[in-house]
Amino acid sequence: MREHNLGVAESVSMGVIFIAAKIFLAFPRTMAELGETAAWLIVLIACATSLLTWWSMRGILRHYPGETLITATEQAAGPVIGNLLNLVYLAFFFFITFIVLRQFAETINAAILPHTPLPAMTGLLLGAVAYSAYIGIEALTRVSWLFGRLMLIVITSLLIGALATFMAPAALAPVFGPGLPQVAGWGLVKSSLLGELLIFGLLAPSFRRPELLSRAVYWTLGISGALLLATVLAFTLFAPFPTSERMAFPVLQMSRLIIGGRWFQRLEGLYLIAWVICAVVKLAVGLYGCAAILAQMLRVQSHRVLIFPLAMLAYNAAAMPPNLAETVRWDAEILRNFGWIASLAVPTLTWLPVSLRPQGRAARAAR
Amino acid sequence: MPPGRSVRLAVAALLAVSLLLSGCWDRREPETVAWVTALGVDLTPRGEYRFTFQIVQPRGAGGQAGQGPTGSAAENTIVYSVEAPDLIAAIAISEAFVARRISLLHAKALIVGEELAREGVLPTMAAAIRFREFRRTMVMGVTRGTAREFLQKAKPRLEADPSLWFELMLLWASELEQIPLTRVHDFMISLERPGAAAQAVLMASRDEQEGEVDELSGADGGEGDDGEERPPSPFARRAGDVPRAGEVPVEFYGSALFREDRLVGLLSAQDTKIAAMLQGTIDRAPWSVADPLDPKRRVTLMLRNQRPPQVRVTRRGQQVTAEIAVQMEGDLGTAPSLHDYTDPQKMRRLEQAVGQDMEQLATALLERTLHEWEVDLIDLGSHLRRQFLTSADWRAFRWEDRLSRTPAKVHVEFRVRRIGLQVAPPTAE
Repeated sequence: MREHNLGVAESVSMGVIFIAAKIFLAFPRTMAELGETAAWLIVLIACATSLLTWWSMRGILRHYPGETLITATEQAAGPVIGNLLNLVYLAFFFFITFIVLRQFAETINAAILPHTPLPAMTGLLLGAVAYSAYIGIEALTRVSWLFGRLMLIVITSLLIGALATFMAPAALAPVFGPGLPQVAGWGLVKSSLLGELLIFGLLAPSFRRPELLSRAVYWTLGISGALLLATVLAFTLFAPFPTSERMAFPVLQMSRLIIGGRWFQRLEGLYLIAWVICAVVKLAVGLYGCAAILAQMLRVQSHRVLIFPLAMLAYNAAAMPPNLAETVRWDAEILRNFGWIASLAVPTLTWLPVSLRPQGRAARAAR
Repeated sequence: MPPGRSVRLAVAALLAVSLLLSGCWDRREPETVAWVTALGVDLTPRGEYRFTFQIVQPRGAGGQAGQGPTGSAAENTIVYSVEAPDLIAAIAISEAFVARRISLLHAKALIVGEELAREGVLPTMAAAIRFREFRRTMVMGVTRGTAREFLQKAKPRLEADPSLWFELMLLWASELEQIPLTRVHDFMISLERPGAAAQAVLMASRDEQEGEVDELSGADGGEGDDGEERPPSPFARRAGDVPRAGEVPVEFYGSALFREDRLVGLLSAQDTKIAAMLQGTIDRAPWSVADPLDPKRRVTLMLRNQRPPQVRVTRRGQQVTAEIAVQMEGDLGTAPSLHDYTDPQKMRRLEQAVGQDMEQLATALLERTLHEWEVDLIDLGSHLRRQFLTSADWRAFRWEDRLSRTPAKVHVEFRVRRIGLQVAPPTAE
């Protein structure tokens, strides 16, 4: 596959949107369900463990310079086991794509456009997503750079606006919520909250130097971790537990409740624009990730031929959960409870044996 | 020259976009919508709910075509009621006789009748907050009598826009701390927290009367909180008891307190101010105190919390005690006794009188709320909760069961900061 070089700022924007767009979905509530008043601690621990994902990925890529995570995994583990491991990555990206597609469509349907048929909503969203993914990752990173700042402004203003309207400072007590062992356990299980980071493994050769990739990943982790943490903290303060675990659309509710005097109310329409842009970018990156993994596994020259078949598959998969509650359950209990296998276990298990082997000539030369 | 590829693409894109611009399934023209400004809920004798909708009468309706109603909200609103098991069913039934589609998107207040409030509001609220049009920014109110009666009488003469009227009434009254500006979101948070007192705006309708103030109900029959020897504070009354005449026969004055989801007590405007003082939210509220140099008269001041109250909640074993230190400051308003309260000694005496007055009222209020009604009005629980490491420990402590055994001490200090535009009072000598 041939891709153009990627800039750090653009890649960071893409990475941040890909990881942090989940704040617009049920993510803050699912954290509140598990962590109660200490939901933010789960996110903090998940952010810390996501460093392991990156260190494993970096270890593999250093051993196989010029390769992507997929081709490096295949070289490291052999064609059979390597492709099996790569299938785990593919499943992770595909699950993210279809479950987020359904959640975004359902959120808009349930809260904003109740009379619009869900297939129309999903179809329209997927059309834009498939076209964006078809154009390629370079265009996606540039679009992300353009809208990344908008997303930051939107989220920051939303959180500040909501907290300026309603805030219960004591909502973070008791500090350990259900208990420190439980919170720490959930933090480890939910380490895949930032698992979308794996996309950088697919883009590694597109960076001019390995240090640039490293810089992009650290910035992405820092910004998206801060966004996830800030959102969960703000939501807990805005709707103290147990109210927080009962709100179906946390960030939407926060935007609906912002009151800045008589003239600044009902601002959710403004936020909606940013949400849809973030949704399209996130889904497009997810779909691109699926296509890129599959293309590299099948040794297809361009990911483009796979975009539309994968989009059709995602459309059908998105229709599988019978309702919104079930969709959220799939996300929280399947994707985010087992996502660590893709985001943590597979890269680490690949990296550990690789790190014991002597480096090849290419790797030594690269160092 | 034949059109190039880019031109063909642009034309195709424009055609495609035009399909989307024609509207979607959720298109609603404003002139097809009936905008609800306030929603009332009462309990019927059969145990069903009676939902009362106050709707803005659109321009041109109810009069000659092209002419908007003028004058007052009396002509600008339509009030109707339906019996239904829940809000969505009530709206659906409304469509049997209301030509437009009912919308709650711009509703300002949810008003619950007293009987329903005493019976429990959770079933009503649970159904309402699930509904997408129901906004948690609506102000939560309880009316003495029925919500239907309140909304039928809520036809002010001064303000023609009923929506603006609700907004202004609630805003000004809450700025003076005569009511709490409780929105449904606040109310639900308190409702869902064991032990916490959910506070709502107290409203009331009254018989329409014109005439002298002393002929009106409430002029001397108000339920004042002060002793009988002194004239009662003008704020020691609740909605429905305010001595007045004219304008709209409904009032927003005082607050209603809920334990779990049931109304347990009504507070006067004075007690509502005291609650705000203990919560540390007073920014500029009038206060009336018996004149320390002439007890037959009263002095009015403007108060504010100088700093957030210092709350100390101590837990020794199973016993919890609370101490609250409040620092207030304010401006001298009126002193009809004509004593010169700018004199340092007299000012000190006035400051002590205000501090003592507020302290006594605060102690009595905490006694009533904690020990009689068993609700945590000033959120002492949040100070206590910080002393627990896990939710399980906190829940096992069962704060809500210990409220009646929790002694609370209040100490209030007051300082006069400004004296208005006059130094010594005028004299006729």
